[in-house]
Amino acid sequence: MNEPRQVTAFQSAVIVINSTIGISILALPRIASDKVGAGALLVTAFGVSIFMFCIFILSHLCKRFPRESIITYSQKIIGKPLGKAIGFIIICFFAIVTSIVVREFGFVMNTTLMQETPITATMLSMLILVAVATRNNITTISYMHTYYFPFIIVPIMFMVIMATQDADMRHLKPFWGNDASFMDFLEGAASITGLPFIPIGLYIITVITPYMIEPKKVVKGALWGSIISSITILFATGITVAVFGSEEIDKSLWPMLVLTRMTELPASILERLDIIFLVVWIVSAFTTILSGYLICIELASKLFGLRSHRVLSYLTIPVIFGLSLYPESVPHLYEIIRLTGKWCLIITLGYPIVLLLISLLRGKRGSNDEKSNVSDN
Amino acid sequence: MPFLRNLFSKKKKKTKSQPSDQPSKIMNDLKNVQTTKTGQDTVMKIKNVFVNDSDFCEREIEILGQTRAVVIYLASITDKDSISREVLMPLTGSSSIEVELKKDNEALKQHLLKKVLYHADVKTETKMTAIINALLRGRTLLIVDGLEDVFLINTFKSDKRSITQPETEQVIRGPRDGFIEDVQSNTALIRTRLPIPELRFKTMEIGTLTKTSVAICYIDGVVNEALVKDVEERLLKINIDRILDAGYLEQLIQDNPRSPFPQIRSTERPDVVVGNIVEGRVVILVDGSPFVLIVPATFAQFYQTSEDYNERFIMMSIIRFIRIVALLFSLIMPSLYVAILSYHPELIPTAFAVAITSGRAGVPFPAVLEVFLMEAAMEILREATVRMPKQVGGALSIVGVLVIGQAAVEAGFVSPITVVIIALTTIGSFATPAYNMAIGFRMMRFPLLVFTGIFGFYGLMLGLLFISNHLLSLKSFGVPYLSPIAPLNFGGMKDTIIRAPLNWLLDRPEELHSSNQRRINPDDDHGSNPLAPENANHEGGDKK
Repeated sequence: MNEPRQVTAFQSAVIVINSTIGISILALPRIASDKVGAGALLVTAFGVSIFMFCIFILSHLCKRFPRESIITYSQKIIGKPLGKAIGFIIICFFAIVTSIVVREFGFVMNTTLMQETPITATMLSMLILVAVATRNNITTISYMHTYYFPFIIVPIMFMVIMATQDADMRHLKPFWGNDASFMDFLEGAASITGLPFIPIGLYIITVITPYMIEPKKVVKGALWGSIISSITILFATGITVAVFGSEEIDKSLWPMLVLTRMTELPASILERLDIIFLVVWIVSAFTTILSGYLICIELASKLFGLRSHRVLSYLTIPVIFGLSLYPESVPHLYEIIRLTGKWCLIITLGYPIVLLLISLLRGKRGSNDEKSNVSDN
Repeated sequence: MPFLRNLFSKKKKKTKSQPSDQPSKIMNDLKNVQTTKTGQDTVMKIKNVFVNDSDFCEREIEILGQTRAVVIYLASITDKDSISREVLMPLTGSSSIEVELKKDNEALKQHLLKKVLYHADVKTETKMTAIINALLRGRTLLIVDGLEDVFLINTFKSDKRSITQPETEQVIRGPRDGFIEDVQSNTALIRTRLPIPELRFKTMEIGTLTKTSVAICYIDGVVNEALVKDVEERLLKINIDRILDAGYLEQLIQDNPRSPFPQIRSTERPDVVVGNIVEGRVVILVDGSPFVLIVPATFAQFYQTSEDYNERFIMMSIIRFIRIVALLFSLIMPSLYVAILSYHPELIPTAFAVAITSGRAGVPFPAVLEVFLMEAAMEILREATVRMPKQVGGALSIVGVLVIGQAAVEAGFVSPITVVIIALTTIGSFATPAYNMAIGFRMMRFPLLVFTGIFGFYGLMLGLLFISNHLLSLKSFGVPYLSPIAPLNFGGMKDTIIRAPLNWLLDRPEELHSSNQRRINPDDDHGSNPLAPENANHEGGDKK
């Protein structure tokens, strides 16, 4: 039975937002201000504009091949062996990226909510939850994203609004950063686009496009999604920098978490809000890991010619879990994130540009009416 | 649960439909037997079937003065009065002998049918199995000597209770009539509310032994044709010997039998049924059950009541919201309490935290165990009261109040706050109008409690994500269970969490894909038929 193509443009936008806003946001202000100090906001703006540009390229590529997976059409464009080889590299990359997010999530949970619980228990339970969720078809997964969307975006906006009273605009100045060179900016922006959520939020559109009602609208949906998530990220980063200043931010691992700890409800209905916000981070981590996991198994199922991504749902757990055990400590984890981030741009920006250019030159184009070989049941 | 469900979802068992609808040996033997002209022979055959059955009655009469005839009926399910007045009296009474009829059998049959038997429901039949079936359904057989055809006169009568207010779905304002066990009366309740020619009832028999008559009801031109087909197919696939209640049918045709949540709505109220038929849903009436099934069902329907539409919309929207809060309470309250108390007491204001801890000072158990014990006690108490005779109920509630409420606290067994939490949970689950949904949520809080006991807040979130992922993956007859929330449909939100004014609700629910999306066209003159073809092309106004 062919899966009904029911993903709408709105849902694709929501999927991009949910996949992008993940647990890595907690560390983002620190990574942004690492090189440029007070210029963190500008660096972030730089980073997210690169992200939007990537989305633009990749969604146009998807639009050209509306009924195929990136694995399938890359083989058409650059030849079978090369397409397969790069496809395999991409899958490995996303397995690593997903495991990084899982590990980061485990670290955040362990340092804040459950100091005594072994980190493996946290990570494994989250992975099982995600694996069970991927047993559903893509349409249902897009319903999940729509459903969780308000639970992610509303609290973050609430946090931003609540924190404005503590914000000090002087912390954001100088806008261009403290003695930062242009290279620092480029490097900072690159390290932001290298954060695991960016490639996940990007490549998820290659997974969902074949299941859209009107694949032509993927450009619109993905761009809107990237714009909204970029604005959210900018707001959240900006307010964190404005409240703490770049000096303070460098001292904490997850500055945004500290920000939620500062947030207070009037009349002290609840003593602390950070635990409530951790609930938000759990949901957003779930949606991000879900997307990363889905990219892995969907692309892998296409590469190995499997009937459906569901076959791999449970088989991938040990792979991701094993990979996520590799980082030894939090600094080591961020070192790995930095390393993967360096190579990330090749996959997120380079490969799609090359594919798009070659397909334009060779005049390759996927037919829209063709009954797709995408089936899922 | 969803884990297991998904694990096995590949191996969908399909019930094989067996062609043999005659499981009994007697019926198989009689399969191709026809009646003969010798009346005595036919009577003997039927008598052989009902040998040793004291219910079986046989009466010999002479019709038109001289032709011998036999009247056969089952005493328990027929109306003797009606047999005497509408069968025997006209047959024996008319003494005008027309000689030529004696020779011509066909003329005799026609004479009897057209002039003598004035009963409204008379058929003739020559197949033996059909005759036996008719007899078992309360028809009186008239076997006339020399005639091959047997007359089947409907004299069925069974005792049924009168139409009363449904016990399960009481309303303060709204119609007081409820369905009863008899499918004919239930049909009448729907038919009188919808006097339109497009209303359809399709009847079939399900259950090899009980032969329960099941009727599908919908409005032609409003319902989605594919839905009716789907319902029919699922019903025809059923292979079971008995259907004793609509609940049997519900379990046999639902999409996901392993889910803890009901995917088909059942109701005792005709107004609810009519409201849903008009929306474009299909209802299934089952003989012998006062519950009528409504498909497809969405989650939102289970916390809505018919009364929501009978009162002013602002008040009812607020009440609906309260019901949602109550439903959530019944699910997460105990787990939330445990998570805060055992894992994150810093969350609540200090003064309150101190109060809670001092209340728990003498309690020997950890909070999880304490809550678990109290929940178990509460469930036992609830289960005990459900089947309790009314006279004993009072005693039980005293025991409940004293033992669970006061004595347990005084004995230092539980803390007073725990009792408050448990009470809130239980009351919350009673505030849900649909019993089957309330029970689903109530039982789900136990695994949630275990999760929370192990992982604290994270466990609670994990459990909630599991449950909501499962809810999101559910479908009822192809309709996503959580629609119109996911997939989002703004038009449908007008009647989901709030209840918008009636004159805003111009569209049928979009997820049903009704063939006529618009309820009425506001530009039309009043009284015009909304089903007329010129109005049928209006698209829904809230398409995405």
